[in-house]
Order: sequence, then C-alpha cells, then structure tokens
Amino acid sequence: MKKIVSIIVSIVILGFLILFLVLPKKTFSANENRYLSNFPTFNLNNILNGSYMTKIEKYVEDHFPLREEFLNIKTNVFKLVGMKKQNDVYFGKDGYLLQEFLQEENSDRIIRIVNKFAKANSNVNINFLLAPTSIYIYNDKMPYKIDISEKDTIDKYKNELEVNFIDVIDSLINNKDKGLYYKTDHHWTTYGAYIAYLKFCEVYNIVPNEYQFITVNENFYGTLYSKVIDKTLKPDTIEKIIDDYNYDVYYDEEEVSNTMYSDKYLNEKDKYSYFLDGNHALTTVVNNDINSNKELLIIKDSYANSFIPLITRHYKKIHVIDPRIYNKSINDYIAKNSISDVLFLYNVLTIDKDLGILSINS
Amino acid sequence: MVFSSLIFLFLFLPIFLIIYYLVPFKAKNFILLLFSLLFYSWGEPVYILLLIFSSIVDYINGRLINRYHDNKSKKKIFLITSIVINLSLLGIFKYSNFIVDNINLLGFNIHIPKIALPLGISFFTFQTMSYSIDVYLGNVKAEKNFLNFMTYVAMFPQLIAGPIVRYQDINVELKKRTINFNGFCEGLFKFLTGLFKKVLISNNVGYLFSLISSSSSISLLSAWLGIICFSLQIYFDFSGYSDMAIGLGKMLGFNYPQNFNYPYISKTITEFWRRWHMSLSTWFRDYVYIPLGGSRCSKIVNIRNILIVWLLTGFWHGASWNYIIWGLYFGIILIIEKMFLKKLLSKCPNFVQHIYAIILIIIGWLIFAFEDVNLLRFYTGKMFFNSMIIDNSFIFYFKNYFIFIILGIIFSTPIVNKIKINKITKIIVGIIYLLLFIISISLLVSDSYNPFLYFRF
Repeated sequence: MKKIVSIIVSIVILGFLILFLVLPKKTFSANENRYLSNFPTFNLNNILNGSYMTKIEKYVEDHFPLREEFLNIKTNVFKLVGMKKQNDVYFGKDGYLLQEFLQEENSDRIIRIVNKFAKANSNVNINFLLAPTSIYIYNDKMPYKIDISEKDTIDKYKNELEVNFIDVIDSLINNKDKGLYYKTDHHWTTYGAYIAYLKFCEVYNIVPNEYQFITVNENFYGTLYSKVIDKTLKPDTIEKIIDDYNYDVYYDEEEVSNTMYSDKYLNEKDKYSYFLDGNHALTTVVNNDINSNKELLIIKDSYANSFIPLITRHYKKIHVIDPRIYNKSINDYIAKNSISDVLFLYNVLTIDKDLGILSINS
Repeated sequence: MVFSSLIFLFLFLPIFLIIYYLVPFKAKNFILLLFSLLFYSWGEPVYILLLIFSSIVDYINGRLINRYHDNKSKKKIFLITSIVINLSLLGIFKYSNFIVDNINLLGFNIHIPKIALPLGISFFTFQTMSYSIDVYLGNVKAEKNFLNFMTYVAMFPQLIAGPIVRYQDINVELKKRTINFNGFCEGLFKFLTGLFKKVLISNNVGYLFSLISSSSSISLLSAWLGIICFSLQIYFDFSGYSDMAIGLGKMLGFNYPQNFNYPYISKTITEFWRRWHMSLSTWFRDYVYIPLGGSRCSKIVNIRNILIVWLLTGFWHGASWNYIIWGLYFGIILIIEKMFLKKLLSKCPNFVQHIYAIILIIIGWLIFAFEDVNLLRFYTGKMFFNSMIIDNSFIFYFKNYFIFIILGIIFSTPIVNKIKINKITKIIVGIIYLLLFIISISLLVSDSYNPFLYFRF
C-alpha cells in the first residue's frame, strides 16, 4: 500500500512540476482582483536580503496549476467538516454568503468630518443614508448566532451626525423576503436599492415612481464568492429598472453616454460595474425630459451605483462624487454648481474600512 | 524554505531527489550538501557563512582532539575551544539582545544592534558541539573528510528544526547507506504523515489559538479551548516537522532518531520528558546532566543538577524570561516527582495520573505561549478567574474547529495503531492518504490566495 501511495504521490508531484513549467502564466486574477506576481529580476542585492527568494515563492504560489480548483476543494472540505466561515465570509443558509461585520474603528473621525462639512455648507440641504450590510438584514440566514455590532454602529451615526439621517433599516427588514442583497456579493440588489429609494422619496417629499424590473444577467458571482471560491454556489441575478426618460451621462467630465448601464461589464467578472460604469471620480447625469431645475450632489461609495438610476427621473441633474478617487475640493464644486441638496450614501462597513470619506473637506 | 510549502514540495524536492538518485554514490553527499546549502541560503543568504564557520571550527577541533587523544590537557583545550566558539555563536546571535535588555534594566545604557536569529542555529550548534564532545570522550572517531562532515552538519532535512542528530547516529551511513525504493516509500509515507500533522491539524488549531488569544473579550471556556489548541498546535507542528525530517532522511538512506513518542499520554512529567523532543532531552542528559554528576551524588547536588539542566533547557527554547520560567517549572516538578510524588501517583488510578500530567503540561504551555508577561497574566486570569463562563464566540469557535481539535486529540494517542492491519484497512489507509494529500495541497494553495476586494473599489 505504501508503495502504491508513494508512486501516485510522486506522479502527482512530477505532473504538477511539469504543468507549472509548461503552462502559460496568467497576469491578472479576476477573482482576487489583483495582478499576479512576475518572476523577479536577478540582482545581487535582492539575493542578499532574501527578497529574491520570497518573490520566487510568491511567483510559484500565484501561478500554481489548477489554483481555483484547489481553492474550491478546500472550501468544500472545510464546509463539510463544519467550518462555516472563511476569509471573513460566513456560509449562510439558502446559498447566502454573509460578510462579517468588522467592529467599527473610525466612526468618531468620520462623524466629525461630516459634521464639519455640514457646517461649511450650511446653505445646502444635507441628508445621510447609511445602508446596513446583508449580515444584519439576513441575520436569520446565518449558520449560527453571533453578536454583531452593526445596528449599534448605524445608531451611533444616526445620533451623532448633525445632518438629517435617512434610516432604511426597518424598511429593509420588512421587505427582506424580496431579495434585497446579492447572495454572492457585498452589495444590495436593485430591489434593495429600491426599498431605500422609497424611504428617500419620503424624506425628500417626492412621489415615488413604480418601476418595472427586468433581468439583465443571471450569471453573477460577486466579491464574496471571490473570497471563498465555492463552485457549489448558484450565481446571482442582476436586475435593472425600466425608465423611459432620456439622459446624458458624463463620466469624469469626458465620456458621454445616454445610459447609466455599461453592458460590457456583464461579460466580465466584475458585473456590478454594470451600474454607472463602476466607480468614477465624478459622474453627472442630466435629465432631458424634466422641467424641474433641482440638482443633487451624491457623495458615495459603490452602494450608490445601483441606487442612482432610481432617482435620476426626479432631478434635472445629478452630480456623483466618489471621494476615494475625486481629488479636487468638493466645497468648490458645490459653490460652482447650483446644487441645493447633498446626499451621502454609504454602506456601514465600507465607510469605516476604506475611509475615502475622510477627504471631503480638503 | 519550509517543508510545508508549494515550492519545496513541487520544485525543490523532486528536482533534488531526481539528481540525488541519478548520480553515482560517490557524488551523493556532494549533491546533498549543495542542495542543503541552497535550502539554507534560501531563507538566510548571509547567515550561511555562520553555518560554514561553525562546521569548519568543529571539523578542525575534532581532528585536533583526535590527534592528541593521548594528551589529556591538550585535547581538553581543543574541546573547550569548540564549546566556547559554539556557545559564543549562540550567545551573540540568539541571546545578546535579551542579555543587554536585562542589563539595561539595572540602570545601564548599552546599545547594540537588533540581531535577527539565524535559522536553525540552536540545532546546528548543538549538533557540532555534541560531535566534539563525543570525539573527546572517544565515543566516535573524528571525521577526516570535510565534505562528509559538512554534509552531516548542513543536511537539509534536520537542519532547521531537528531532530538533533548526533554524528555517531549517522557516521556509518555518511559513508555507506542503502538507498532503495522501499526506503523511498517508507520515507515518503512518514513525510506525508508529518505534512498532514502540520498542514491539517497544527495550522488550523494554531489559527484558532491566535484568534482567541488576540480577542479582547475571552470567556472561560474559550480561554481553555485556546490553550488546548496551543498544546495541540505545538505538538503537531513540532512532531510533524520531525516526521517530515525523519521521512526525508529515510528517502535519502539515513535513519534519524525518533523525536516524539506520544508525549500527551504520559502519566507523569518525568515520563512526558522521555517522550517529548527526545533528541533534545537526551542531549542535555548526556552532555550536561551526567557530566555534572547526574544523580550519582548527594541529594543537594542532584537537585542543583536538575535545576541547571532545566534552566538551560528552558533558555534553549528562546531568549525570553517565560522560557526560563517554563524550564524551571518543569525542573521543580521533576524534583518533586523524584522525591515522593511519582511513588504516590503510581498508587492512584490511571486516569488520575493522566489528568495530573496533562494539566501540568497544559499549564506549562500557557507559560510557554506568551513571551509578554502582561498577556500571560491577562490570559491566565481569563482561564481561572472569569465570570463569563461561556459566550457566543466560544460556540462559534467550537463548532467551526471541532473536527480539528478532535482529530488532534485522537492522533495525540496511539489509538489508531490498534486497528488491525489487513488488506481492507490497508486500502482504506491508502485512499485516506491520497485524499489528505490533495486536501493539504489545497490548503497550501489557499494560503496564497489574497483577494483584494477594494483594489479597484
């Protein structure tokens, strides 16, 4: 028996050695959203400080044959033995992947900065919409009970921000059976955004439009899938709403489009970028079919991308700034344009972790 | 380079083995040495000079001791030279920062640069020292061929984490050894066993321990779960590494000494230390304890000898106070056992003896686990004085890691050896080994998987 096992193991090892040597190397890993490492260049210094060897090891790991298949094996073996969490993602019931809510660390700083922004722009009407993540709304899908501080964090923002706070939690919970979050991605679905839209309309005194939803893609494996690589999971469906208004969409003041949807992303891994062409520093959407002269500025993360198409019909022009990428002064931008309303739209996890919002006053 | 890495398993090892098996016997030691130096310099490109230096020193001293084997005072000088140089290497590269830090606590203000610990220095200095002592005592003849000697010191299977192989264990095999398919299979099997111990058990329970010990709120049960995980981690890590080393040795035609013999089934601490890291405890027994007089002397001197050995054993594990305390902790228990406790225990039922030993071992690991005294105090508090007995985190930890902990406990005992070997069980074991091999690779691959969620936002 030892002989047979040894022969098979030796063949496997030699097989992978040959595969590794002959297979063409990929440069980009879509699931990891990063470039894979290159073979290091030879240099005496790199050898003496050991970085040359570390880079070779990294190279071997990055280009190991059948990498994703092995990841899938690991995930499913671990699931089988009762491990319900990997890379901060829980394997929930009904195919839900739920991203762990990490304890907030920066809310004091963020609140201070938003309040400062509000003081500097007291002539505009500012609202703040902080979306929960799926682990809070779909807590009943968790494999077991854990303590999450997400509600406390949202309440903290609600209580300490000196701007009007749009609380969408109750509406989301009341409609949770309608698929408000993707199962394999960390964003909310178009319908989830729609529930927030109804709440938004209530606050802004707008009569909400009754939209019709249509499916644009049924093969969406999102960011949470990428974190765990589990090929037994079913893909998500992406929907959009039907809106017969005509728009001009400007990305970073240059490209012009007449739609807020970028079909090209539906053929890629990163399908959520279908909405508003992913994240741009500055996006403006001009409505050609409305008499109103209302203009709204949205300061946001990617949660806003699927939300914005819902509200464009109510405004003459919507300005969208992603402060993670926008490097000019937002105060100047407000002063230069006839903006009467500002909406902050973030999700409670990203706002604390990527901290793009900290630069809104500079 | 570590054994449990993709680059070792799929590049270094197969390429080395193919060359090693193909070249004629005369060239085998040279190839082994060449790859060993590559292996070492992979992680320590500069410190390799230290390894070579230590080998040269002991090679020369060994030969000089041999030449003056009739001249007691002369050969003593060379022995002392060897010991002083080896201990100085250890002193400078392992202990100088610790010693200076402690002197500075007394009000001095000495500055020395931070020295990184060279890989495996504790092991190879002990190997070369044992060689000089053995030549001095006449246990073995000095090696004339430097290539053979350097191969002995640098041989990559045991270079970095033991077992501490003595020259007399393999001096015959250095010159003449059988290398055959059978040995390759036996060795590969042992290697795989070690790989599974490390990758499947140790890494996972180790991850849970780091999760628990770095958490700010720890319930009493979590704290105990954590330290049990650490106990399993250190055993499966260390014995797994030894198994891999012994297995690799077998594949090359060497028979290394056994290093672990199910230490957690011990009934006394005395027994534990006969089963744990055996190559180290016998090293200290033969080269420190017995030369000091061992137990063939007055009670007081014997107690002194035990305390010296255990102070040194503790200190050998790391340049930090907790290791010293850990060593002395065991020294004191061993003295008490020797004086009366062992006799008393032997009258107790078996399970009482097992519980006694395992609890003392676990408390030992508690001291071992935390170099920072404040963390140790914090964690000990959570284990013994904690009003929060259980919390949701404990249930989460337990449910997620249950299988690894259970497997760890089962394979800490020789229970599976009791399974009757017949055709069917052989086939089952074979299939399990192949499956575990694939799973181990998938775990190694997944360690390298780094999804960047927000790379492009």
